[in-house]
Amino acid sequence: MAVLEVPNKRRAIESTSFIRTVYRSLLQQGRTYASFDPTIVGQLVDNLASRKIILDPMAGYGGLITLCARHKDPVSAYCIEYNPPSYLWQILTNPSNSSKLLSFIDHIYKSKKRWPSAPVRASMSNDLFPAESLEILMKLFSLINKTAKKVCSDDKEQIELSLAFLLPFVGRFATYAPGTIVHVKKGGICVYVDWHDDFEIYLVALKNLLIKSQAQVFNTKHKIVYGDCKTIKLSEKFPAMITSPPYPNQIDYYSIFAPENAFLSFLEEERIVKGLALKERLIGNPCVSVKEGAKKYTPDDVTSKTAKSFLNFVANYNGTKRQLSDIDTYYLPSLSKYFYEIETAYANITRCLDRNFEGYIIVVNNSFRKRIIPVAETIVDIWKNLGFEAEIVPEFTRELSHAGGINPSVKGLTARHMEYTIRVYRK
Amino acid sequence: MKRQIVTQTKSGLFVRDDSTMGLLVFSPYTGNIFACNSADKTDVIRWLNKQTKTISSATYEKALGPEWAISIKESEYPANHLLPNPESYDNPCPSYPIVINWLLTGACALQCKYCYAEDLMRGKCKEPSKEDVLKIAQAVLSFSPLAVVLTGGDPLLSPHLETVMAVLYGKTGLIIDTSGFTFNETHLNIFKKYGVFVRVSLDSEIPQVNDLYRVPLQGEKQRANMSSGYAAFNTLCQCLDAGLGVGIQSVAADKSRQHLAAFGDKLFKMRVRSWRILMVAKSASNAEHYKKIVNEEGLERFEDTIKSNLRKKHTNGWNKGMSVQMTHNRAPNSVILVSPEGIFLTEKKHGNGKVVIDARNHKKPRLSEIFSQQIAAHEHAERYLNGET
Repeated sequence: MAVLEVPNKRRAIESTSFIRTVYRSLLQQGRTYASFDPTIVGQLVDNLASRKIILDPMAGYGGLITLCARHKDPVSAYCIEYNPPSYLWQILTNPSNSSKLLSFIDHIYKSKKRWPSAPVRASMSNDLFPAESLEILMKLFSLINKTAKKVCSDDKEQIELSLAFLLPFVGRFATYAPGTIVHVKKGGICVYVDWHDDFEIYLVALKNLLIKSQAQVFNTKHKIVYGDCKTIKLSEKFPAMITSPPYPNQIDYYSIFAPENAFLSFLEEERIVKGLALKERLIGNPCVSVKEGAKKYTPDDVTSKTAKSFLNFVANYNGTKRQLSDIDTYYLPSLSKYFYEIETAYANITRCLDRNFEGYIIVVNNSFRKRIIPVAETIVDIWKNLGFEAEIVPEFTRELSHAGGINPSVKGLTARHMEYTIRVYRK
Repeated sequence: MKRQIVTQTKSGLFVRDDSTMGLLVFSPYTGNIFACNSADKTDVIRWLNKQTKTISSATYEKALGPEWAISIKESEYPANHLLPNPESYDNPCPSYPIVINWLLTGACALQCKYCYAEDLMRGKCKEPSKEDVLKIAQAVLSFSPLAVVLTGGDPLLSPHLETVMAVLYGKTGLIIDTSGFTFNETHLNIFKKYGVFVRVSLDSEIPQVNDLYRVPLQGEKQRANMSSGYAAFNTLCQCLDAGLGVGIQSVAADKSRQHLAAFGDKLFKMRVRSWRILMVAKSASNAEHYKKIVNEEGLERFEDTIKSNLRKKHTNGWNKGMSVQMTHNRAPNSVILVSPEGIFLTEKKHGNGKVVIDARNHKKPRLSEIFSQQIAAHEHAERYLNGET
């Protein structure tokens, strides 16, 4: 069987391939919800490239690696990420893995006759994966893992590369009803008909992405670390940083990847992998229910005066009975938690910044009850409290429009968000 | 008016030469009904009778040819079922009923919250004997319907199901509407024997959501904990695996309509041949739940965005393999019903109950009463030929 041919003209991945929307965006455009905007961040990399290494402690899909890889001057990215699917996407698209993966794709394609068959046409379930899906996924993972042995140098690399390779396709076998890109509703039908064709579509899209990114790479030495920026201990000292925290918009980044995270948890229960099943929530996740054992955060947990002032506005909001109940049980605890976690994360990260440190933090201010949530101003406050200089860089400030997105009819403050770039540096 | 005759051609498709609409065609392979322009009538009939190998227009081949002239994968269904295009028709109104819905029994294992037929079910109408169904069948056939939908209640619960199919077989197209809740291998064999197009009711791919509205009947102890969603899904898969023509019927209720686009992708991939999306029809039987099921605020969003998204998905891919019909309820009196007792009925013009089509001849109405007095003829054609789009 010949190697996998990649057509000259790229075709869009159809929704009927059942490759999840978030991965269709990543495969076709290299970015998706909450990704870095390369036009802004590219300029920031230019500013910091002479420092040779740039840290991103909340790296997401690894946008920084892409920009550093393509920079004409030697510069490396050091990325930390705690959401396992995002971390594994960085592994998959790390330029130092491209050649290995391209060869890997062809090996997998050549073994097409050994791709597992489905015992039934389709399955229906109220959960994320019916039994038939897990059976196929385990067989596919086993095949991929055996193939990975041919190209990987050690067990850890073999497992991670296999997982990274399979994960964007795991959602193909999930039973869920896609809402928006940030919301996954459990339950539905998984159709096994033509899944081999869909896997081939995935392989072609991935090969395309890797070939394209390989062509533009100058720097291949980047580090990707799985860890929680709030607690991770690093021995290195970093001269530069470009990062963007999650937004305070009640989006649970873990849930964006619900099927993938569920599959990783399954593999952990089966003792096939270890350490990639997230057992706690990520920064910005909206879960604050006391019933679920979560600590109920309050403005007292927050140090920043700017954040406290905003949280006091929330606590004293003059609304209807229903609004006040929502604020008490949900909004105040979740916003307090958000600011607390951001403070904790930055306090931890500053321990590994060197004497000449300079960095940029890109944030978006959302709104609550027609009042701006002062994320940028709070971050300036936090870094100053930590002993750094911090200022909003006016030339990178811009207005983003939300209209036409999730809710096409939003107007006014809800439709427009300000994006700020904050420069932080040692005095 | 000269009586129109329904003929089954050598291809298996049923045709009727309608004096006002041209040639009406029903495919038991896809469950679709199409009208063919009068000018092309002779050529189409010859082609359907395999007297010619090809037909001049690819539109006809792709819509009418699946399963006997071309594979299902090569099919292509236009949104509107007036062929070759709607512009070649001028206010299409049939002179005879296109479809008659025969409520074979009032028995049903479910009590769906939006059911519009409760007033004819569960003993409110006398269940027919074997002799009754034979007479009713003759009355139904006298109107030369292009297709008869066997419904209810659930027709699978009728002891006369096979008797009725045997009488109607070859004389009209056969469609069966079922929840699949009591489906078994005997039913499957009957469907295969009589070339029935099976239409399974499934509102959502998420069983929990589907089951919100499609609830097992209270007192059905054995089946009380069964999921109507799983039952329908299993029926769908078994019929597809047996090579039967299968369609899905979904009611767009509040909780089910938001995920219709994703559901449609799954049905398309499973090789379902047709998908009918029905709006909840307000009736005396569902008045208690109507507001909650419909949620008029959400309905507006459905009308504005979801429906248009579904049409786009049909045009951009589903049409190659799956026809999609979206019905409205602006004319509840576009449907011809036959009760278990054999009375011909329709919904009242403003909903809220049924009306006998011909009070003087309630078991065999005069044709003039059907289309000039009680039934909205244009909307009857629109309903079955997907005219809204």
